[in-house]
Amino acid sequence: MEFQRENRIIKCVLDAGELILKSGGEINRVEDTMTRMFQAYGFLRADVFTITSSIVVTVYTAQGAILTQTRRIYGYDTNLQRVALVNQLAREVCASPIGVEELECRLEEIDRSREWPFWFKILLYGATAAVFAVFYSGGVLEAVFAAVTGMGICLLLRLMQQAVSNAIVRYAACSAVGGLFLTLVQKCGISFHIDPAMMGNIMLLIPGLPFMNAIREMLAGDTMSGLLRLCESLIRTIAIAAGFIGAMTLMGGGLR
Amino acid sequence: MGIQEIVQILAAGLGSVCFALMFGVRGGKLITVGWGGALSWLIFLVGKQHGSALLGLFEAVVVAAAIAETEARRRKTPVIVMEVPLLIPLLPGGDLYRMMVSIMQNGVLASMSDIVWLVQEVFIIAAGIILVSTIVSVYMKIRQRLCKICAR
Repeated sequence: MEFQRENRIIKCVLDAGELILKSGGEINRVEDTMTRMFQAYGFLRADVFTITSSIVVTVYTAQGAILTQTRRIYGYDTNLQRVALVNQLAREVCASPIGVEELECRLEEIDRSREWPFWFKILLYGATAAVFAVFYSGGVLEAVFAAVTGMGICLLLRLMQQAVSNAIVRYAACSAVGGLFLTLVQKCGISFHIDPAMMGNIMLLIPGLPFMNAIREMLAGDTMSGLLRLCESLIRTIAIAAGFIGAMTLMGGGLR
Repeated sequence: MGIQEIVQILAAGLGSVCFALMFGVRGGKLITVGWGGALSWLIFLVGKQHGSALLGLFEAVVVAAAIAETEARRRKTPVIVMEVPLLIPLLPGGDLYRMMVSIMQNGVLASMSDIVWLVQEVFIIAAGIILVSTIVSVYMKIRQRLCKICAR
């Protein structure tokens, strides 16, 4: 078949771009990495266009053909180590292009490199919530309750991953359940400051990565993607607040 | 500086490391993220004592972003890998919570000062990141030019 090799290379480079994008890399890093990789493989020209949910690429081959492929990006799965690994791989490719098969293998390896076992992730969520509870001037009791809530949130996020397709709803639900749990514990008569424990858990849910990516993207000239991410982080913040306020209202706080 | 501040500084460093782990970062980068997170919070506290909290926040963001940019270049890794965990303690999670509570207890209109404060903080953080990133990219361009001229 004609252009089989070329199409395979394009597919591989798209895989690399997709990996960076869904793992939390910025738009301009995706476009830059892909363009450089195409250049390394001897394409005359490569036009890459990326927004947060799609990658489009058109390349001009040395034989004079013009090939286009598109990739729709669905979910996100933040793992910055993966961004670093793909970046490293792209550097190697640009220094000396490796074979298509090897590139495929290496990318698959990076894709499969799972971050942490689930139990460790649960502990990590708990530890992070506890640390931030202490950070917001909480004591031992606050840290313990924050940790329990944080671990619950991690479990809940995993459980809802399949059932609830919308990430915003997931975050609102987590925030609500966290708020509900902490107020219930307090209502049970255990006296502790609810504020630090709550703040520790809000830090878990706060959209730090989308916000910082939004700023960097707008700075790099990708205003559209930047706005999309800014919107995402704003909606997520509102969702966290809404979930929390909903829980408090339920427990008798009440909006005025 | 009391015990509470020291605990807070340590917690900021540890919190940064926790977030870095959550994002899958491993190895020596974790150590940089740890001391960088603690240092930026120390700078925030000092700035807050000697000036305004917003100025302190700005200085802390600039230092954290500068650490991230230089360390990421030294380790040949994408800047966000370092920058996001480093800046996490500076994100206004506590003030977001205070704003929500205030809105619940006093209504939206009476909480305007909390809302504006949060927006100010967000803008200050953005400004700090933009400033450092721009300075670094201009510096890199000038250095590239100079290298080219020297090579000739």
